[in-house]
Amino acid sequence: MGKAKRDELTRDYLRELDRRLASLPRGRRRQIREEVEAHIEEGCRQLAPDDEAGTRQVLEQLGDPEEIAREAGAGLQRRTWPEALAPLLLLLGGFILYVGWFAGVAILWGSPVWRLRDKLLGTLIFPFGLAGVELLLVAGLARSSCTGYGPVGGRMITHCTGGLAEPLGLAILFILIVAPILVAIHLDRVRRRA
Amino acid sequence: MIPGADSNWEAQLRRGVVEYCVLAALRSRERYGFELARSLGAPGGLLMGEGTVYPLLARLRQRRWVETTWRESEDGPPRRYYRLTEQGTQALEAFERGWTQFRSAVDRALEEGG
Repeated sequence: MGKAKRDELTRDYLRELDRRLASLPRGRRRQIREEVEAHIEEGCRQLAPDDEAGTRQVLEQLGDPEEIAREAGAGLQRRTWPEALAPLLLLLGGFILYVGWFAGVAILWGSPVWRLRDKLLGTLIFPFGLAGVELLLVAGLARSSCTGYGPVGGRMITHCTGGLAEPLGLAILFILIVAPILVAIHLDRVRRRA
Repeated sequence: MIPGADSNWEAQLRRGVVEYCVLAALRSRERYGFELARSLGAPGGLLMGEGTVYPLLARLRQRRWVETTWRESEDGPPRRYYRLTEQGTQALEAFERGWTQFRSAVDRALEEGG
């Protein structure tokens, strides 16, 4: 107890503030957070370390973190539609002459909803989304060689070698298709939380 | 906090003018965040809680209406002081002219209506 109580209340408050400010651009978020932290420190400086009521009063006067976030405009991005579209464009936009994917990338990098980490993820896995995967697979198939065995019973039998060994090939195929879908779902989830 | 401040017109009006009240608080001298928060966030003031001054200050700074300097303090860590810029002073003056006109127009309308 004692000192721990004051620190605990402050920590909880700042954690809640961080959560509410998460959708803001980094610089803006950091400035607000630093100032609020300094405010609490200054407000509590005259208090005894175990003064729980005093700490609560400082935080209460500071106001609800939600109110601070609202003033900062955090969470407003949720209402805009380009961000809602971006994960879909990144996943499927490549099929629209690849243009849709570039639009998705532009939205992704222009929006404060996503952090750098998400932006890199969304861009790199995979370029052109599922269209990129398709391109890769077609290229892979072209490299494999097919030998015709001639007509057997009126049907053309062909045997293809090259490309990838089957179990490994299937695993890679699975990753190639599932990874961009998972990334798109992740981006959408981050957007909803913002 | 204004009593009944959740009524919509009041919230919108406050949102529109509170930035300029922050600028006005900086007119005579530079101040640091805590100081501004305490003076503007007092009950009956314009802020919804002291903490909302910080996003306001961040916005004013981004607009280059205020600038900041770190200064040593005698009884704690250095403080970030806010100061009006030339642009901020101009914005405040323009607001004052507009506000005076706006206020008398509303007063007139209310009196004539009554």
